[in-house]
Amino acid sequence: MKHKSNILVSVIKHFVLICIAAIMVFPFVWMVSTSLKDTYAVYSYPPKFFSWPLEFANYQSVWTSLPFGAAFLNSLTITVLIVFFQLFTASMAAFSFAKLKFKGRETLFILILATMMIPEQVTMIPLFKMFTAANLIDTHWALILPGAFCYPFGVFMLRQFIKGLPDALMEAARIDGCSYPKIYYKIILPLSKSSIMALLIFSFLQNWNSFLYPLLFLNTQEKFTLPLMLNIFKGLYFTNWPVLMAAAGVVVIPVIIVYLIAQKYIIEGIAITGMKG
Amino acid sequence: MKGNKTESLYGYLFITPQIVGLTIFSIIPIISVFYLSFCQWDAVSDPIFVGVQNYIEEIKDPNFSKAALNTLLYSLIYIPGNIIIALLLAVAIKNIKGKTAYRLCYFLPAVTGSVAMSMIWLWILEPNAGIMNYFLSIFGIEKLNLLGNMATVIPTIGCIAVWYNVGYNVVIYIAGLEGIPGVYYEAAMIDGANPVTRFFKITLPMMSPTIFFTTIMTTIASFKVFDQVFVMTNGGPSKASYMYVLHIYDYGFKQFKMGQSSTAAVIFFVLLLILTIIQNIMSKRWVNYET
Repeated sequence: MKHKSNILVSVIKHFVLICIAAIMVFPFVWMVSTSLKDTYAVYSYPPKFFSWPLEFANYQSVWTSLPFGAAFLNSLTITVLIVFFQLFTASMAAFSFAKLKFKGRETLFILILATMMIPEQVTMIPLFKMFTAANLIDTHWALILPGAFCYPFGVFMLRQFIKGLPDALMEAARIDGCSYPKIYYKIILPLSKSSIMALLIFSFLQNWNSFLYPLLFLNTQEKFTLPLMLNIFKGLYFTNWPVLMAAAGVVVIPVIIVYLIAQKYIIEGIAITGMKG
Repeated sequence: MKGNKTESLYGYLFITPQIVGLTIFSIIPIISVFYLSFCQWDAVSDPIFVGVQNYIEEIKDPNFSKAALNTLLYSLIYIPGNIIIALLLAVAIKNIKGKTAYRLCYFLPAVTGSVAMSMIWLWILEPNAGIMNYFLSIFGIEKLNLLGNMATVIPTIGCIAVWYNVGYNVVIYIAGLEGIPGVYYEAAMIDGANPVTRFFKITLPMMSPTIFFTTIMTTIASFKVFDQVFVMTNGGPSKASYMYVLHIYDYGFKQFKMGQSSTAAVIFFVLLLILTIIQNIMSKRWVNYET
């Protein structure tokens, strides 16, 4: 008897979990389905999943009406530059805070912790003022510079990790005449690969999908990032749902493919960045 | 002695890029926003110092209280919704067949980007041909305009935000659950504790540091809500979904009242700080840090 009720519980559990999984996935399926219909088919009642023939022309109108290709390249360049420089400088600072002794180290580290508390929504007006004065509005630098050189969260996370590495490694290297930069890239970097990968994924997602700062700092279409271009597109094709869903698809489908391929690393990365509270 | 000198030299050298960046892009701006909050500034001419005038205007401003209340209401749905659902899902799929597949699905929305997912939901919830109304009609519910109705717009945006972000907390909670030693559960099972007791007596206390951390992160993220409302409703209908960051944006970058926008930003910053401090104090009462 007990065995039977266990099976029943397990079936109900899976049923509920599958329903929730369906809710998570369905909007994207519906996006693809809508993007392959013509303007009339989307209003058919009851709604159909696919209406033949499939309408691939929607994707063509997305591609020809706005420079989505350029936006993709812009997003990619900005994100890669930010992530590269931010991990490089943050890991260097983290190494220094974790292992090197110098005057004022603790005070400066508290400064890092304090800046972690400052949200970008609070500093957006002074930044706008600063970038206007420096003539950086409507350039990608306005996004790259703060992203690349202001990453207290990364410094904090990596410092926690590097602190846990044994001191003996570094001492031995010093005795062998290894210089500090060499210790950084020969010993510290390889050993913190897992944490750096985790941050890389976390930060890549964040910067790739970032919307507020591009919205504030970019004005001309050729310089737009993908989320910004998509937002403009929404204004242009309002109520033309098949084309709008094709545009959303152009933005979302590559991300989903990367996610499916690298899901193990992405999920592990998120778990690591979240756990160290 | 010479070694120490090189060590501190490199110590300073290695932190320089981040410290300089932090100073320019975070510390100077936060000082500057406090100063600007006491100024009148239209983004073109020089800021004029006006004292506390902006603060008096801001407190009296109905848009300020509207934005604050809306954000609070949204948070009351989003924060508990996100934390509780994430915890239940994590507990449910922890030791189950197909865990990886479930986790893959639950985290999927989080990677897709706020603008794209907002557009998809706009279409699903579209009042005339949206598929949500078709699903509702199966249950005999009349056509709804969930995003166009003042009473339903915030709960709807809150639910969408839970759908979008719950995966982060699910992933973090699963990692946390995997860290609880199995012997605790084995011992409890021998003592005849049922699943509910085990959840409240083992899982919750053991998970309390993780839950505390995610609650702070989720709270801060909740108050910062912007992208979804900007794309889906732009604060409407008649400011029913006018959120706080939208208020800062609106005053600063639409009406060019940069001074008052800075005032709103400073109030926001101070509120977030107070909130974090309160949560920290409260955490001492229920967070169980392993000794």
